Amino acid sequence: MNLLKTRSQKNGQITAHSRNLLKRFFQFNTYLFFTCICLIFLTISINGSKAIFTSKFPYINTAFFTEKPQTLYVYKPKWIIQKLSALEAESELIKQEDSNYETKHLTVKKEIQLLEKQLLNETIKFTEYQIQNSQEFDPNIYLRETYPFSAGGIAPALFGSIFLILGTFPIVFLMGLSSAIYLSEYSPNDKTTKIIKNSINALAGTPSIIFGVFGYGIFVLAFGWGFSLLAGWLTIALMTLPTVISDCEIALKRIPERERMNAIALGASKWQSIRHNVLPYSINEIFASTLFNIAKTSGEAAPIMFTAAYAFRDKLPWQGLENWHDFFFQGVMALPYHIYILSVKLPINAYTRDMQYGAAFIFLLFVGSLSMLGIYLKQLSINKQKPYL
Amino acid sequence: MNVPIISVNDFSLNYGQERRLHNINFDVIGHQVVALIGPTGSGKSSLLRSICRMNDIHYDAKITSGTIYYKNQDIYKKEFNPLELRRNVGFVFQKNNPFPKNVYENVAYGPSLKKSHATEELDEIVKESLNAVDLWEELKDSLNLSAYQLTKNQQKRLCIARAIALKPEVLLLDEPCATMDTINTGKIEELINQLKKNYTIIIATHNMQQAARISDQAGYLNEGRLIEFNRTDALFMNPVNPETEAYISGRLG
Ligand SMILES: Nc1ncnc2c1ncn2[C@@H]1O[C@H](COP(=O)(O)OP(=O)(O)O)[C@@H](O)[C@H]1O
Ligand SMILES: [Mg+2]
Repeated sequence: MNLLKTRSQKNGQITAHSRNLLKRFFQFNTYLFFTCICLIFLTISINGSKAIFTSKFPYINTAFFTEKPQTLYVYKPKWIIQKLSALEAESELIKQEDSNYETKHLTVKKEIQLLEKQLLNETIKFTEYQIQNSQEFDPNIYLRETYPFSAGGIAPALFGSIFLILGTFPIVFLMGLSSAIYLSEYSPNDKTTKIIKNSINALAGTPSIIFGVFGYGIFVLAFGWGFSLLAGWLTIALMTLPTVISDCEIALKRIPERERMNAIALGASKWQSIRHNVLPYSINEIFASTLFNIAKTSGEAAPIMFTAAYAFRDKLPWQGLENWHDFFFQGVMALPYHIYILSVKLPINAYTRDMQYGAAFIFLLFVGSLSMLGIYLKQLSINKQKPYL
Repeated sequence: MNVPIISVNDFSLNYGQERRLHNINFDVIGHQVVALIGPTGSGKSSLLRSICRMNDIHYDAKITSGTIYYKNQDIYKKEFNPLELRRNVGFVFQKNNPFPKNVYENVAYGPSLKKSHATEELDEIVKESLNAVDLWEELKDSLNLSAYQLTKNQQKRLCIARAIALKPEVLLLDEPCATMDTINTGKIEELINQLKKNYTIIIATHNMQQAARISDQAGYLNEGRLIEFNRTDALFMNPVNPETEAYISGRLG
């Protein structure tokens, strides 16, 4: 009897101990993830702010938001480059010889650092516009490098993205709302409905590139719209809708059945009962879900790459339109695609970094604030539903 | 004898494959209180919902025989407008379910559905309806109080007032006192006695004393069958059917 007791006590202790360990493990994973996210965001924010903020009034680099991407022309003094490569070769040699490695290497390293600083200082940078008004530099003295898109700003991409989202929003909101209302309130409880619901759930996990290719095949080629805002809107909308519809259906279903019956018993029509007693308590959530999910899908490069986004276009979306309907059939630049090009097609170095991180930072802010707005609206909506919950 | 205002005729109802009401027959004459008694699950709520066509809205319900007449009109005929019926035959749910709105909006909801009323007109309707359920004196200064802040008893009255605001002919009350103590039950019974002057009332209850006290006619339902339907005193004093007698004596004795 006594033995049994102590044993079970011991067992109890062990479980308590391992439970603690388990808790630590879960905690560790959570914190690890969170730290990674913070590091990513911090890197982007810190590096990005260098491109966006300035030390002088108005403290913001307005050109970044108002100008088109320009090519950056860099003239590096050749003698510094030559000296640098000589020093680097020397440092390699020292490493291999391995005698008195530490001290010697340090001095060389210091020299290299100094030279690199000098190189940065004596390098002459010109943007695409400036170079037209300046004389060429002697190619014997200077080495010319060009970096596309690394000067100027991101205006066409920024406004392109804004217009892409503005156009997608009403499509997703109206289609999502009406489908959700149908599925939650009107659809019969039969096989067809079940199939539709399951397909919608399955679609929510479809890779974005599939939607991109589909949009390309249908809107761009078959309908002959070409790379256009319209094709982009519909493609992003198709991609966003499955999630929005399921979200909205859940939001509607959360309003108890009695709220509808209540109104029906007082002579309301079905639509009246929905409009007065269901929608007001879930519309915020539906709005929020639309915003939140568009923020997510509009951040994808794949769906617009084939349907709406140009790598470069020097007109802003409202410039040079002959008809009002030309607006819908113009391709645009878009931030996610622009960021993709900046980081994949260009080397990462002192001359390209500002633009790369700057664009990423602005995009982060842009998408982040949309998501935050969505989350805030959802909270509002939940507060409003409190009497039911 | 008067023309019945509600006439249930050989009425049967299925939920899916399950038949829950079996060939029900009874008539309700204007300005009377009719009580439907029977144990839980006997089909009282289903029958009440059928009378105002609440069953064919959200439930998987099907009429398998017979029909129900409201003032000699077949309410299950295709061309019959259920919206209009529900304005004339008000249903008060067993569970208090005011809208999550204020008192005024709750009462004004029904009337403002069909046409927009002038504010004074609506004020008058709200006042009358709340007066009819003895809530006006209590609540006239707090009409914009949320209905969820009222007591249970007040909420029940509010729900009745909400139905009354439509000026219906018939009121269907589904176990109005199911969760109330004796004092509040007494108050509701008093209210039913008052309402009787202006409305025909069908009340579902499993409280037999209550049925005996307030109703003019009563029916005993069991497992979806209307075992007996008669004048209340007759039903309680000398029930014809032995089942009814067993139920009544079992409950009373
Ligand atoms: N919406 C529904 N769907 C399926 N079965 C139901 C539904 N409502 C009630 N029932 C069934 O019908 C029978 C009668 O229920 P009800 O009318 O609520 O009885 P009561 O009100 O007398 O308690 C019960 O067996 C119940 O399970
Ligand atoms: Mg019931």
